Amino acid sequence: MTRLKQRPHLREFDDPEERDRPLPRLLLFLVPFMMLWGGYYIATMDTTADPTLGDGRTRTALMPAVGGGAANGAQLFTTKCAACHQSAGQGVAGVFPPLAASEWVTGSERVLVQILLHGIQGEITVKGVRYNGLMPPWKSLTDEEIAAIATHIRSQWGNGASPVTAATVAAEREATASRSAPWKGESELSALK
Amino acid sequence: MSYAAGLLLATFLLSFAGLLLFLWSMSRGFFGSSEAAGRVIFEAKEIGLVEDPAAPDVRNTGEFQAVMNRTGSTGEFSLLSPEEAERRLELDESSRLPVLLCIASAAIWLVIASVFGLVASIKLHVPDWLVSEAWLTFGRIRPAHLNAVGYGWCSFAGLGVCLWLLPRLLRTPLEGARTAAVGAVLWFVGVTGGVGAILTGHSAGLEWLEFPWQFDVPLFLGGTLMGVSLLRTLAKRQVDHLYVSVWYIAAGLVWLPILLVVANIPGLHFGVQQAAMNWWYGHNVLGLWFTPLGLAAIYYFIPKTLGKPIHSYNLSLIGFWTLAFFYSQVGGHHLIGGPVPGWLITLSIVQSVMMIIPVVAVGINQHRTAWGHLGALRYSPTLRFVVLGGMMYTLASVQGSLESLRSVNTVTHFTHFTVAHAHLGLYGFFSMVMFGAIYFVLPRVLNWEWPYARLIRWHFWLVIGGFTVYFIGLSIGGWLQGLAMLDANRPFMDSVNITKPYLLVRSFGGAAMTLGHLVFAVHVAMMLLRRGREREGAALLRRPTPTPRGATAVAGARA
Ligand code: HEC
Ligand code: HEM
Ligand code: HEM
Repeated sequence: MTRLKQRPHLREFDDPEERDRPLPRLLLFLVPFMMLWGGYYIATMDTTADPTLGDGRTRTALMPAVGGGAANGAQLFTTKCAACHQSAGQGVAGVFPPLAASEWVTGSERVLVQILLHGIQGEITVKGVRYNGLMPPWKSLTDEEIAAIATHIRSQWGNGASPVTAATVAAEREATASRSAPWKGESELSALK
Repeated sequence: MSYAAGLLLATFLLSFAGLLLFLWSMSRGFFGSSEAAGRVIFEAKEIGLVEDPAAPDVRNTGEFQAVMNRTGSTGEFSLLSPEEAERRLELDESSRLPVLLCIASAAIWLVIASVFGLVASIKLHVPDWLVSEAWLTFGRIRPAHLNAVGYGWCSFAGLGVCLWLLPRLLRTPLEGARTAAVGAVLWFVGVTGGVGAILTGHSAGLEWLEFPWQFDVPLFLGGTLMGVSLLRTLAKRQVDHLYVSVWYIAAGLVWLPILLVVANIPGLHFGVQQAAMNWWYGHNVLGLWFTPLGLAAIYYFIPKTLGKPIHSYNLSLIGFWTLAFFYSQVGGHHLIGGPVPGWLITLSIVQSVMMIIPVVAVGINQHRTAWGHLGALRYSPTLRFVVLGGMMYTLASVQGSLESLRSVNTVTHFTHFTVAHAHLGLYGFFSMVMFGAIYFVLPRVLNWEWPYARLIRWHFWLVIGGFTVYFIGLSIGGWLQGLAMLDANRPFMDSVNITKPYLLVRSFGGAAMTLGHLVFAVHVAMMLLRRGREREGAALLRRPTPTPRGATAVAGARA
């Protein structure tokens, strides 16, 4: 290894050391002040939350209460329905029927809930136009979620029907619990009314 | 008050009483006079200015003292005698192999990681860019960036600097340099494998713990080998008094393996407990690994380059012990608002705010040492990076303490503000300090000067300029984003759109930083390959004016 004539080591100072000095006043005041603040913060903390919860919480316990809340219905509509029925509920001509001003949406809430629970496969007339497609079932959603969606679509785009409660959904689910196939179009649905 | 809160309060007050006792006994001088102990290591003290054939103009000339005074050195430390310099050279040679391996690896990872970061940053405002390959998507590039900076650049730089510092501070040649070198290679294997696993979609899925455990094994083994070599050196030390940097390094070396092992035990952690463990680990890697290494370097290089002792030994003591005491419990502040028991979060917030004590202690100590000598920043690259890094440590920590309060965290948590803080800490503080340290270390290890002062200047202005733009832009954007998200009357997309100009600004800042890193890496490569201009004397950022011959040599002492 080539040695430089003036090695970097030669222009170095000694390795550092520390001076002995009393603690600065600032620090001596700061420490008790911090202690008081910390004690105050702990003493006044919100202890309404159960500290033993942890992993014991269920999904429903962690979710804010839902009961046909407008915000939630809108969100669910966007994620679950808008792909077919479009975000303004106008549908796609000839393929996906509209929800805006649809007699099925604003009519009997029991029929609407049944449509949402089991879906439709067969002919259906909406606002005078015939459709023959497949509407998927939404049984896997909770009662609260279905109620929120139903309430949402009944109150949007000029629709003005009454809200749907989770209890109604629960009752309808119970009544057709044994059903596994979708409703066979208009004929079967009309019979429900 | 609930049982949990009462217990917490009692524990807090009790432990704080311990701290007060510590302070009281310190102010009574029960810890003895440090200076007497401290002097043991410094053999040249009583010699004063010694015969120094290599720098004949310097000795006993009026110019010398004049420059010392002008650039602010008090001249309390003497230059080394040739024998001492020879001894130091031996110490540096003992650690050469592992130090070079670590620093070269650090430079490689710095460049790779910056490119990952830049790609991730551009994707945030040009989402359709580079989406055809799975490994280039944001979800992989971003954790690859995080792990490459954390375990690649930062850890390698920190380890390299420690491996070089400890032999000097202990006046003992490094024990088992080859073992340490094998450790560095293993560490490199672990990081390469881990980053590769993330890019190919085998991430373990927890932030800061994304490496699959198979690659944590070489990381752990490599770290242990380097640690063992350093601890063996510690055991053989030839000094009585341990300088403050040694405490931080030794503690960090013990803390890291504990963290790695506890966090990576398979099948032990799940659910909410896993989240709590994740951030216990996440923050401890920052607070008990990077921070101590960064502080150790600051504590060494500021007094070293200024030729002046550290302001106060008592402050060093307080800073170290309170950091050790408070930092280990702050991880919960990453989970504020999450389904974690409330008392755990409260504890983490209180301890986060208590961190003000060590931060103030360290801050006073460092800034009082450097204060009044800031003129020297114009000359010495090391001092420039390290002093700025020290200031950003204070800033990042104070910002962090505020950010952990529930009222502030509600706004900042899910926003780019956190990312800005993260870069202030790990970049503004840690990376800056490491740049400065490497500028000091490499010439000593290689016995070769930095070939181009101009490249150092480019590096400095690119990274400091880029970082300023990055940090300020992202902090503003993040805060606005948080406010928009909290406003229930605004659609969520508002909070996204509002950040777009700031994300663009971040990409520009980040690009400058990346360019600066390239300059730095090229310069390091030139050093290693001995390319470029041959130089005698330090590569200073500017020549002291007017230039008496002695002045250059003395100002060189600071580089
Ligand atoms: C895969 C596309 C698709 C999705 C998703 C979908 N639907 Fe349908 N929906 C249809 C089709 C197709 C029909 C018509 C069925 C037929 O022709 O038999 C229909 C019919 C309906 C009807 C009765 C006719 C009308 O227009 O009033 C209602 C009510 C309805 N859907 C509501 C919803 C709701 C609420 C959701 C979200 C939970 C939803 N749909 C999701 C395709 C879909
Ligand atoms: C007193 C000292 C500090 C406190 C109290 C503190 C506090 C915090 C808080 C509250 C967050 C945000 C958590 C969230 O909302 O998600 C955070 C994030 C972060 N901090 Fe600090 N900080 C401190 C110092 C530092 C230092 C010195 C560094 C660098 C070495 C640092 C690096 C980071 C990083 C990297 C993150 C982002 C973590 C992630 O999300 O991946 N902090 N800190
Ligand atoms: C080499 C020094 C750097 C260090 C130490 C560093 C560190 C970090 C850390 C700790 C995070 C995690 C932040 C968090 O989770 O809150 C992060 C994220 C990120 N960094 Fe860096 N970084 C560096 C350089 C860069 C550069 C040069 C860029 C280029 C623009 C960049 C862009 C990003 C981006 C885009 C993210 C992701 C942010 C997000 O998820 O929203 N970083 N970096």
